[in-house]
Amino acid sequence: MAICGLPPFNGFISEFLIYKGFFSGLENNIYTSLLFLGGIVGLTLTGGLAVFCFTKAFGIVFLGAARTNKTQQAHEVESSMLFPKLLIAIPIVGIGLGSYLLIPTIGSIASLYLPPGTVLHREWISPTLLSLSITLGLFVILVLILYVWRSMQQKSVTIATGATWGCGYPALTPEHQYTSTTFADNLKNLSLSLSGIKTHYHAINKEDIFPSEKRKYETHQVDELEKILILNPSKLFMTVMLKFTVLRSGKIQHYILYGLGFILIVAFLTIVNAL
Amino acid sequence: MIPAALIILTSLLFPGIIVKVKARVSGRKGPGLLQPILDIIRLLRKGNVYSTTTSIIFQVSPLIYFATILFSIFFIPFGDAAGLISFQGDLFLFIYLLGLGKFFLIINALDAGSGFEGMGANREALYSMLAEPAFIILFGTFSMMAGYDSFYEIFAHWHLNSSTYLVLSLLASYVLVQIAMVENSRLPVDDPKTHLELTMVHEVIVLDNSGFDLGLIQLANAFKFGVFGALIANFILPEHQVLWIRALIFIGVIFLFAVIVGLMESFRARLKMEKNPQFILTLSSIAAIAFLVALIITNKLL
Repeated sequence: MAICGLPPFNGFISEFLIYKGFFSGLENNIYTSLLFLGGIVGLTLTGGLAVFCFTKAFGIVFLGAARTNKTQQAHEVESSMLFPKLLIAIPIVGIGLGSYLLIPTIGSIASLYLPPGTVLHREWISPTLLSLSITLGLFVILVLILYVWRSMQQKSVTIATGATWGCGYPALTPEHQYTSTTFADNLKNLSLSLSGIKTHYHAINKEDIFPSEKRKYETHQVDELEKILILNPSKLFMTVMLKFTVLRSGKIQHYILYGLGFILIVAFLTIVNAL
Repeated sequence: MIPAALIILTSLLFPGIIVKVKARVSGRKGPGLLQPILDIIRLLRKGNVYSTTTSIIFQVSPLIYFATILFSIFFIPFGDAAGLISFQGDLFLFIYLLGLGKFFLIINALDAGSGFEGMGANREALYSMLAEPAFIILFGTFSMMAGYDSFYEIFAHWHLNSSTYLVLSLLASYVLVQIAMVENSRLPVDDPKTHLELTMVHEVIVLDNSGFDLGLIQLANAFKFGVFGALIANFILPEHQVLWIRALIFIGVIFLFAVIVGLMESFRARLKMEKNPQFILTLSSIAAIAFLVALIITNKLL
């Protein structure tokens, strides 16, 4: 939730400050107005994509029925292993709710990287962040009040359990669970060639009247941008680097020889440089 | 305090007006104006049925969704009078609170473990993502013209005494009505009356919610309509008028908005599912036109 920039977590404070900067830039000339509008739209879409992505990731990993037998047997770890996560959660919530209190600290860090004599105008943002902290605190209080109301109401009524509504298919099986690929399917249709679906399935032919082979249908998403920008260059780099594995003989005398060779080259280059 | 009270009161009647208008247009008498809200009160007194697949997330998410919408009401001003909560940049918190509510509604659906609800959840996530730029471009435009980024100061500097402001108000009202339809999952992107899960968006998300939780979700939806109606009302509230006249106009605009929604749903068919993203993206284009008009008005473009 913090990475999606949602309140009341630290990610929201970052997005809030960026939006404030962009909006203040809208008032300048046409170039900055259009540039900052582009920034605003980009940031909004990024925020929307983050919500889309992390509801998908969280939903597929943690929610619904178990997708495989392995996850069916999963259980919570010991509290000693949960403790480090709590240590991370504290600053995430703390920065979100108490951003105002961090201004002096952030200000002193920022001043280290600014030209000497630069005056930081903390008064530009301090009142806003104070109001924001108070408002987010009020929101948390409202949620707690509603929770107490709900708890009281639930005590006086019957709470029952049953199967998930399945429109004629109430038995939840792993096959009925929503998958990552299907969740992203409608977004994929918009992103055109930037993403693709790879399907692994041996289709049934006309002559297979009684197919004996057990078939499995599996799909996964391919990120074309990741493929072009990261996977292909790193594959090329690895191919080049593999050529050097010939030097990795495993014999210590060879490695001493490499070290000696390196020192000789450095010495030779030093002499050449001195000339 | 006045705008929050007016929004809550009018929101309670909002679903009733839509149902009544739709009934009248189709030649029926229809239920009373208070019937939808009486149904919500009935739900709030009921117990819940939870699926064995669900976790605590399913139980708390309707509550957080409701909290986000209720809290967002407090940001809405009343013309040149500030809302209960007002500060520089409150606009961003307002947008992100609605996003937080949506986040919980989506994971609420995924927690039920039904393929149908997962389908609704991904549609809701996509449509929200596409509708958000339209809203922010629109308010970026007003912020540029007003020189502020809080609801109160934007509306306090909004004067209807020139034709350019009037044109922008009309554009803004149109975009806000359509965003409200998308955000509330109504026609043309979703049909709340549909009975086929495969074609649903919002209704399929809440299929497994019942009793108190469903009551909260339905009440939140009514409030959300009220919030968008109040934003539109703020564009046309006259300045320097006595309080009761402005309150009447405020209520009148929200009621008119409900009637328009009822009429739109009576005469409009839902779009093909694959056409929905195009429709929603068109709203961003209209908002961008409003931005360009604002650039011309402020002598930056021409």
